[in-house]
Amino acid sequence: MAPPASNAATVPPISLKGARILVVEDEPFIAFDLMMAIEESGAVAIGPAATVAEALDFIGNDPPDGAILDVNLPDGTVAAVLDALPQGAAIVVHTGMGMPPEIRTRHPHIPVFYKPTEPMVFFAG
Amino acid sequence: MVSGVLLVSSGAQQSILPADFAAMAELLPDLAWVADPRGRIIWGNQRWREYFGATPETIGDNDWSSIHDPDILPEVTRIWVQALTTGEPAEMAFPLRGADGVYRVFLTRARPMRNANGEIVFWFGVNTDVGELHAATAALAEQKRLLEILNRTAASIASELDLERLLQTVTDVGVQITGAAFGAFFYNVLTDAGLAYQLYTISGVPRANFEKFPMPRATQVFAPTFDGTGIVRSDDILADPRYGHNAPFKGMPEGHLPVRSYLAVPVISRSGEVLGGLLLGHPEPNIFTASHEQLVVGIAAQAAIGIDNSRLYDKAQREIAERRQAEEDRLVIMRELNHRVKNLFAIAVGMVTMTARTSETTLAMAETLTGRLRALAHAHQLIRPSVASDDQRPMQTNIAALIGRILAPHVTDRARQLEMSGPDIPVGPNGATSLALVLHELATNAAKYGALSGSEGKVSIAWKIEGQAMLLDWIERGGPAIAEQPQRKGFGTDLALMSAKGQLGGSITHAWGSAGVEIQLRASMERLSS
Repeated sequence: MAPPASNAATVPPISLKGARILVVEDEPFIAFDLMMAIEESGAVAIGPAATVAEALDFIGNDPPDGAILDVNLPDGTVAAVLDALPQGAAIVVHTGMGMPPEIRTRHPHIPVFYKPTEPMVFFAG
Repeated sequence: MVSGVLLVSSGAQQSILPADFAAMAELLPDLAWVADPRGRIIWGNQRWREYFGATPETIGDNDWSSIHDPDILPEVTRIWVQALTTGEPAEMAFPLRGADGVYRVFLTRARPMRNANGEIVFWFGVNTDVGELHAATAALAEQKRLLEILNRTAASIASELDLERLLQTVTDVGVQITGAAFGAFFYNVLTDAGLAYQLYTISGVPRANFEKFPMPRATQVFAPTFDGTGIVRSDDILADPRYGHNAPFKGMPEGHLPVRSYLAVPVISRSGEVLGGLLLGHPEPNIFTASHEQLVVGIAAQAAIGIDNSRLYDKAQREIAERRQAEEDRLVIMRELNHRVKNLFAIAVGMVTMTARTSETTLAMAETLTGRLRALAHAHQLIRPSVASDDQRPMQTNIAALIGRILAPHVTDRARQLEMSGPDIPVGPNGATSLALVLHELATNAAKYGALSGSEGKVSIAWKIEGQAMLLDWIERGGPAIAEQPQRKGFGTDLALMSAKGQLGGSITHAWGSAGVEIQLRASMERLSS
């Protein structure tokens, strides 16, 4: 079985109210589900971005306060998105396969959740 | 007066050979003789006389040069003179020519006989025929040498699994054991594809001497060897009635090594299959004997065992490698499948929650959800067979199969309601899932509001390849008349749009005309096949 989800307490505390959260996820059902869960929690959902290119567009236009990121996207891994996100942004990774070691080394503190994860779990912290 | 035989007078002295002594000497199986103190033979027993063709009267006449090998005579003379001078016994083996002209090797021993004063009266000698013993010893030594070679061959063949080295050993030993000038082993190789070719090893001469000649064919000389019907041993192949009948060479090709003596033995497997042949040659005639033939037959039998072993070993090695490969392939498929199942569950969970969010009633939700899950299952079904079977191709289906399967639940009369045309395009696991869900949403809309909502409508789906993309046109006709573009697009449309843009790397456009909706889906060929 997949390893247990990382401790959600390591997510930097942010106020969800009005926070702009980017969803990067190529699977439409999961993406829209996350979007709606974000909206329901009082935050503003941005996206969904299905590709690295789309995600970079969103970030370039209006840097978000946080992001929920899938790792493997049709046009590559999420590494470039992680690099483009502003410092201090609250980031969680949501993946089916886990973090590739090269991304894990670059971003050792990002919490990883394994699919499927109940959307509300992301906000539990 | 002592009873005896008067031998000869030598000077003033007369020698008398005692009668008992003469009688005893006649009983010896050897040649026995008596010489006077100066070394001149004065008496010989009957065997001695017969061997040299002498009579009692001519005994003293024998001429040493006529009975000795001239090469050895000086040494024989030296030893004999030394014995006469010192009075010491002499012993030496050397050939003596008999009356029949044949030299035989004798061991000659001579001893002086002395009188009461210690003076030598005469010399007594015997010649023992050791020719047979010598021949037997030499033959034994040769047999021992050959047996050792055979044993070494057997041992090295038994431990050698590399075919080419094995054949080289066999060829070398064949040459060594028969005294051939050169030898060759031609081996029939059967490839996996069933093709036969001949591998060969050469011994005694550089390989270059053979390289310019064609492989032996089924001529009268070679056929018995390569058919496995018999051994060919010829003292002079040029004089053999089987030689020289076949075009184009009518004998050995020009420049071929000179072969007169020829010995060829087939090498036959336990199974009866002719594995090849061991061929030996010599430029002189009359080289190969019957015992050479026996030895080479023995070597050929060893070679057959070795080749069979080597084949079994190769077969086992190949089988092990194949099994290992199959195991690895299975692991790869297991990992892919595991990944896919996890992904499908993630999609299913998203599907359930999203469908719940967008459905008005539980019943409507159940219906929508069932349709979507079924589309997901159909996509998986299409790519699954290659996982379950031994088929090693990557998980794949084609676009026509996928469209047919997804639309089937929405079409009552397929021949009338569905038209499909386009080239064969391979679709991989990820592409199949995305495309299935998009097509399912389009089909659901058509069934709810469009051409498939009644029995009169028809959907035409045509696709083509344009550069790196697939272009699919979905045209609905015969459905309820459309007044205008729908005010609010449903979640299904968002879903299709996102899939087309993201996962399929393309786009989707809708055009609402009064005759029916026309949808164009563009997808990257690369994403489709992923």
